[in-house]
Amino acid sequence: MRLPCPLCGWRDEGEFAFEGPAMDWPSLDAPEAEWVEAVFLREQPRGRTEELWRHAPGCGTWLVIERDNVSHEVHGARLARPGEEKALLKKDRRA
Amino acid sequence: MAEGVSVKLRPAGPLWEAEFWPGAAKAGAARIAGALDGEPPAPGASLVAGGARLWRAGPVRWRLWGGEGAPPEALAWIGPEEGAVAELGRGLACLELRGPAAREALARAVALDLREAAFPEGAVAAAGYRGAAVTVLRAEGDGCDLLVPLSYAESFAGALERIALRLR
Amino acid sequence: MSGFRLGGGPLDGAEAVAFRWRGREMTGLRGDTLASALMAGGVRLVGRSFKYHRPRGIMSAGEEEAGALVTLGEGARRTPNLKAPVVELEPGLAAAPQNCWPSLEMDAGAVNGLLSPFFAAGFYYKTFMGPFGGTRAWMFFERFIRRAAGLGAASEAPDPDLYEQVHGHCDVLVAGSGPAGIAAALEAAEAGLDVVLAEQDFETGGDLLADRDRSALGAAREALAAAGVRVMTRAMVFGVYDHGVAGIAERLPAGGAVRERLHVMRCARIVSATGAIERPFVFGDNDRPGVMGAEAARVYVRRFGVAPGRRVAVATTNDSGYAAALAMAEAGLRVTLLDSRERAPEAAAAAAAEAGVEVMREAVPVRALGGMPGGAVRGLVVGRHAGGGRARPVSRLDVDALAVSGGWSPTVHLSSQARARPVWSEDQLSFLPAPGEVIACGSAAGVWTREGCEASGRAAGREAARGLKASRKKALEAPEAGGWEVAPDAVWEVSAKGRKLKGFVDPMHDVTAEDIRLAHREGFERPEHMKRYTTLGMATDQGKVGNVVGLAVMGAAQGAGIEALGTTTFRPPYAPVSLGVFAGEHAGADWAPVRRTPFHAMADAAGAVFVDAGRWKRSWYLPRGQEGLRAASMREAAMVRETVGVCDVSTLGKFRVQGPDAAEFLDRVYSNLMSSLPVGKARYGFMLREDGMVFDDGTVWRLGEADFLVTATTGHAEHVEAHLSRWRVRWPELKVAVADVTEAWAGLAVAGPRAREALGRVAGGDISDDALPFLGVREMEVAGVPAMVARISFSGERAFEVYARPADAEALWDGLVGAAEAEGGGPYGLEALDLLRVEKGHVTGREIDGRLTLADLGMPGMASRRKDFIGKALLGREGLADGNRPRLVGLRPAEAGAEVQAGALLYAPGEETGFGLGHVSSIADSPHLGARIALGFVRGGLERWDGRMVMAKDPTAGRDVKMTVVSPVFVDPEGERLHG
Repeated sequence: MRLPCPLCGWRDEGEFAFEGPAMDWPSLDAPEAEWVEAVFLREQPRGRTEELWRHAPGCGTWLVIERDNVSHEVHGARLARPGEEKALLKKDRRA
Repeated sequence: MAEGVSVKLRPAGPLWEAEFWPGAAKAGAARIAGALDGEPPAPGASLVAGGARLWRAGPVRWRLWGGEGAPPEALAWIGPEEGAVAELGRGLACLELRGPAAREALARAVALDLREAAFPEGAVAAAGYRGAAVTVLRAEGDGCDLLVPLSYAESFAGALERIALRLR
Repeated sequence: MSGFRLGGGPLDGAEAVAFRWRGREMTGLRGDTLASALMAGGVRLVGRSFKYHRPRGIMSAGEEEAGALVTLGEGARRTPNLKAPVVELEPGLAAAPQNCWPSLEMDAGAVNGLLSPFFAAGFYYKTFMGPFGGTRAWMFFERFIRRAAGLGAASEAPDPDLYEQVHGHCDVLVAGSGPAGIAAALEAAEAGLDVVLAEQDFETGGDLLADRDRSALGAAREALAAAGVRVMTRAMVFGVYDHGVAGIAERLPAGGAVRERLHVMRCARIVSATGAIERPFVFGDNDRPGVMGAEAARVYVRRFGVAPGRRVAVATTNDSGYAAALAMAEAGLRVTLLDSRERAPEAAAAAAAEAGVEVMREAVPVRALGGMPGGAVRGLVVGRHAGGGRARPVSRLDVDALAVSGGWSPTVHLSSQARARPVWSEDQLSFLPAPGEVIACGSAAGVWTREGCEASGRAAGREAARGLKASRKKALEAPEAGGWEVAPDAVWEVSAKGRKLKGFVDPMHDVTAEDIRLAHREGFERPEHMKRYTTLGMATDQGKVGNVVGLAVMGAAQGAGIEALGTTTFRPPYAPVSLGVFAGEHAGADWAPVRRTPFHAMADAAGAVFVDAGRWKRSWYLPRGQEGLRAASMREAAMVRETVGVCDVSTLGKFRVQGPDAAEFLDRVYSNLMSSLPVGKARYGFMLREDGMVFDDGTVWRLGEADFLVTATTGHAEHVEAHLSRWRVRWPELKVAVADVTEAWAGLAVAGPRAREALGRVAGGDISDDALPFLGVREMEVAGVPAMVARISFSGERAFEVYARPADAEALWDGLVGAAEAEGGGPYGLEALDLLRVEKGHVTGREIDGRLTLADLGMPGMASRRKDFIGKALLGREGLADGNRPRLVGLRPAEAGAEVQAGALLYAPGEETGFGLGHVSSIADSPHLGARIALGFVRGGLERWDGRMVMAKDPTAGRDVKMTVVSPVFVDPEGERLHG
């Protein structure tokens, strides 16, 4: 499998670490129930889904990759840190 | 060994990393590159000036390899309101691969597209080499430099030397 | 017997190649395969079959070979189960048959054939796993059965050869160098693309190699070179993976540095021009030596100049048999052609007849007759074909070879691997590749003519170029599947009324048509069930010849067509690939990379013995004289308690956390407060996982207002880096940067009552209690090099950690070790460090196993109530507040010196069942106490068990040891040594 790093281009899966679903985490002061939900009660979506990956060992950047987990088709990638995504101009994108 | 590749292990020397807070990234990059009389290089490319080489290591991260000063002048202006600067070169080693088969040897180590069009002169790429994060830089001629964590250096040098022996 | 080499063949005049078969010297020609050389030398019996030990000869000229499986090489280089038709003949090659005892001709196992009614599909399961014998009977009989059945035996010696892996990239990968592949490669290359053409054979050309006139082949090779196509031979595209990744296994000629090479090729487009495989059909004794594929017979004659026999029958159900008959007749062999059909392709039939072929229509073989030595074919019973395989025996034909064509199966493997499910074509009687990521062309797409294949290849090359925007030319129309003059005949199995025929569907696994009907009768009707019940297609050829026939036989039993059944899924590899190819260089010295600390060479010179800790080589102990691990580590630990020791701590994870929000960030990731830490001070801290469990412990040093250094345990360094980085992404509002500086600092710990004196000998700054109190951090010169000194202790002694640039490691080591030696101490290793920390009750990864809370470790106070942090929300879960959770305790064997291992389970005396109270996590022989001590976990902890006896049970070692529960801090519970 190959995955796109917006900064480095398409690279082998072995250069990436899977980090679970791209989801919003509760704030640290959120009630226990919200954390139980986030840590233990995850959705198991089939098909097109957003996942958090890290290009490591590589440039180390955190990515949200939209991917179909059945066909493995990749629909797009963006940087997981909103500020970084903004800092990456269109001409800087390699994938 | 004109046909093959040679491998030399040496200390990387000073390598500074500057990380900007996202809002300061664009201006910061321009200022660093400006100090080197150039434009910020595109991802995968590098700016060589004054004995130093500058490239983009992340969306808001830049690496400056070489140059004088601690930190070098191009980065000395960066304070807590702009970002952070750290010296990483002391923890890195440089594996110099020289000779026409340098990229052929590298293709046995990293999964990068090293064809001329994809990895021309000045090219830089971050990659994984057996689980360690390394940086591959196109050096003069057909050569390449591989920046590796110091602890792996001897092991990787040995592996690349064994590869080089086969490519003689 | 000899003299099967035909005169005037393409290998005429080639260099002679000496090789050995069963230890006998033989000679072939450069350009031969092992199979063609054996055939030329008159060898017909090549092996014995898997189950019934039936004699087997050469059946094909390719990877689909199901008969001629051989073992190559000797000693450590012995490789079993290679297919003779794809083994390139090289000087000195040594090959031997397999699965025969005591000899190939006199095989004791052949008695299995007489008992075959008992060895039908499912026999083993029913007999040995049923209610009577049960699994115990299977266990007893298994070793005999395993010995009787099977293939060759692999060498048990380490493989002495080198394998390597190469990463490649290309625009277009074309698999297969026949007419279609060449056309596709040229078309794509002419559009300016970077094209790799991979051919599994040692020569390019595919079907062109069987041309009488080789001029087309020569021209094609020149054109490929001129177009800049990267041509690889002996290179099999064995697998296609997601996103255009292809695996190519390349065999290298003998004598080189590397034996085989794996190319992991990333391709923008993949073209499959892998051709088609001729399949047999079933008739009586169709597995005899001398029965082979018709196309194979043509290839042996045309490419190698070898005759499969002198008097040959060709039995075909389709037009292709005529080309084989013609080739053999032109080579001077006597040929009779049996066509199952009423109508023959006119021109081909006329050409064959003119060349002297006797053509019989509506004729099929009913049974191959044996009798020649080794059971080879000496004739056949010819039947008049009444359609659908039903035949009436009418005559006998004396032949010494029988070439069979039961139709063609396009090699759809690569397309299918890319998840395009093959589609059955009733017209072509073939599974055809479905459109998908892999572009199939030529015979691999069911195109049967030379012109069609070339056009198909061109169209595929154009499609690839257009897809990559390298060509603006309009798409070429690819020829549709087909090209036969007369439709192929759906003959799968020949039956004759009143005759019981033993015919094989899968000759490699000895699966008969009757086995498949048995599977049907017993309800295993789906292809996947049939496969597992009969083992059809599970041999090393993975059903290349047998699957379609097997499906047809199953279909007939069900009264359904193949399209209703579908096929099994093809998965990589296309054909067997050596395990060495996947291991690559990752063996021996390169099995895994090794990490060495900056002090490695110095510790080595000091006589250190190293231990693997993850990828690190850590200094384990530094023996004096004949000391072993135990003696040396106990001496070193005692040295630290009595004088001073120096230990390499460079492997600790180290992270520079900088930015105006760095303190806030650390408050969020550590359970205890970090923002209150003054500049120039360090603090011990815990990180919790999101679920509240302890994740890692380490220290935080405040170097500046917005500048921290964080340390993590060696084993968790990478996880901690990822954890910090991950949460930084989740808090975009924080201005904080985390840099991994693990490798940037070389660190030595100086510990012991004389630590200050030792450090003082080489320190360039003030290290008095006032200047550097407990947990103080200062920069100063040490041993003449710039360093950072922190007063931190892991051993419980007064101790300092000194960090410097890796480049200054030697100066630091020499200075500090020399100073320690001057104070009566010296260096110590990881084992002594472990003894010291167990004595102090300090936890490490042995204790922090991901299942424990701070309270379980006896440190509930480390969870701050004044701020929020990762893990806090779930720390309050009801179950975690249970006072009866296993808690950290110390343990001492009731009898001095009693053996007990970490991992032993702890029970209340008299209640030694179930999960018990907890477990032993660490053991040490304390030099300080002169006694064996342990850390562990007991439900209820010290509060309930202090001073009481528990039973440590170690079922794997068969030991029960009584232990007393005590405080986990065995040495200096008041901390006087630390501060004193």
